[in-house]
Amino acid sequence: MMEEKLKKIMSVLFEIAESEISGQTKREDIERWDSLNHLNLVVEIESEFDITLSPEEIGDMNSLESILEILKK
Amino acid sequence: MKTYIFRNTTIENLFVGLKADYSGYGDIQSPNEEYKRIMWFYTIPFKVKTIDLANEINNYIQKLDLVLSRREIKRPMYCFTIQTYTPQLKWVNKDNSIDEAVFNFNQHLYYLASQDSSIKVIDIQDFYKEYKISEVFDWRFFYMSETTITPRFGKQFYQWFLKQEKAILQKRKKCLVLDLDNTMWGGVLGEDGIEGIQLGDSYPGNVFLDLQRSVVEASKNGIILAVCSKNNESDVLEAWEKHPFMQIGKDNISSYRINWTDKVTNITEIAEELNIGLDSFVFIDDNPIERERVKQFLPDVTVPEFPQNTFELISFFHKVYEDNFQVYSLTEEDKEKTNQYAENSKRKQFQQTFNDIEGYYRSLEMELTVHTNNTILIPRLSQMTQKTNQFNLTTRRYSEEDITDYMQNDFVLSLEVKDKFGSNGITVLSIIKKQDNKTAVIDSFLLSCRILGRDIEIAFVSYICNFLLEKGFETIKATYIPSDKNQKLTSEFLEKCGFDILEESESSNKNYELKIKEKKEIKEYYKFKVN
Repeated sequence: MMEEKLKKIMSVLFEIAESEISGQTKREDIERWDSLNHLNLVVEIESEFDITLSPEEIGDMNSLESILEILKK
Repeated sequence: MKTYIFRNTTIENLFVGLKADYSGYGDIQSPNEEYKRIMWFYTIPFKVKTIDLANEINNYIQKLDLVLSRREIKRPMYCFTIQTYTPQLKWVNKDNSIDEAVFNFNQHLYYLASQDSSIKVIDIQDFYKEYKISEVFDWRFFYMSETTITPRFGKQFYQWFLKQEKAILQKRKKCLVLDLDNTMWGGVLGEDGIEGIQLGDSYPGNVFLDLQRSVVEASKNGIILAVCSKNNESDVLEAWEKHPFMQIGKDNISSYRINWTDKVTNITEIAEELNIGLDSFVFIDDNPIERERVKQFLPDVTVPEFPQNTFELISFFHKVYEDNFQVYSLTEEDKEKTNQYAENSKRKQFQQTFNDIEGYYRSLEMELTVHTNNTILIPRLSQMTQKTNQFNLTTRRYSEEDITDYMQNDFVLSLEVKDKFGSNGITVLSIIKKQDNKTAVIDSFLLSCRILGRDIEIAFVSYICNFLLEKGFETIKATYIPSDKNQKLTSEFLEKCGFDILEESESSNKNYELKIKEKKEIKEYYKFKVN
């Protein structure tokens, strides 16, 4: 469920198909995952899951997998 | 239409949806002709010492003036006011230098706009007034991304901006068509009679009274009022004349259709009578069926949803007004400010420290510290290769290990940029490989956006040339590799620095060469220091 929501957010922000996103998809693999969109990603995740991410967590968000790990904490 | 925005903080998140490019932070170089509109949107960052901040704000005025004086073509220029909507440590400086600086800047904007109609002022206060400082300013995003308006407000901000833009572009509607029963008063006139309708001192009549007053105010602002109501005309005319609390009537209503004909026909007739296009109409009616029909048959007419509760009518109407009728103009109050300003500036000339771009560079008191193969910087330098996209000649990404290797055999030069407003940290990096004793290759050359717009990059290339000349090199080779993001800033950069193109490959990479024979001159305001 969480993974689905996350994929959806990422696909909209990064303008790629959800099917192209897997757990292993890394930040450097996605053209539009730049620092600005990273900020947008933080904002979207925080409002979707009603959380506040720490700067360290924001820095660690480098793949779908790593984001899921942070969300599960 | 593409827009260019001068800015000093991260604001991209506030304009998602707008086709725009952004200056470097504080960069005031003139944008090229592809931009049809220019905006100036500085926000006040946080600084511990308020006096430093006040100086910085005072500097905005000069920068803006310089930008305006260098305008070759008069493109529309929107300038945002600034507000002290950033936390301040009031105990550090107890004077009001910041408030003064902000006041002066804003006055200056209004003054400029009063002198030149291509300059429009957008008052940021109008956005801030809905929120508290603690909502708008987020320490986390400020320190991580240099935003002074939290990116969480991106959508609200952009909606607000569109409204301001609409007002400036005069895309406002002209005519407001009003229903009467249960819209301009409570109840049904034909059934309840003049005494029975709700309009007066107590709820819900007091809401309708204020609504009518608001409508009248709108008409004073130049909005044409029309009425379209299913009623007997004579009943309504009598109510307009005789009801003690009635605000609307024949005096302020330009056209009316009070009959039993369908409203689509009536509105079409009103449009013909007033000679106004249907796309300039806003239709207010409490009845969803009427609204639906008008929407369906007259899609050009704007038909806002009607609120559920009577007490919401005023905020509803306020929103209808803001969305459709807001007009851009300098208010009387603004004009008053302008007068004060003109007097002020007669009394006290602004301390002018520069009036051309070189003067501006000089006034910055730049100090450029060169680090050569400095191992302490390895993490930062690797991170720069990973993150820098726009000003990056080759976009080669390197790990800390890679950088370490280069430092052993080649030259890793980086630059720490300081100016009178403080240090920007390590913001320029170049990796230069030794091909042989005579030939050096620029493998990477990149700089952070925040120091763009001072031609530091050009001065640094000159510095590198001199550095290599001293070491006995005769030829410098370099490559430009286009990426999605680096073309605007770097595709012609090496030409500007005097390099010759050797070949342009099919992938549109460009290979360059430069023979170095004598020392290049570097302007004295680029004060290079060797660490």
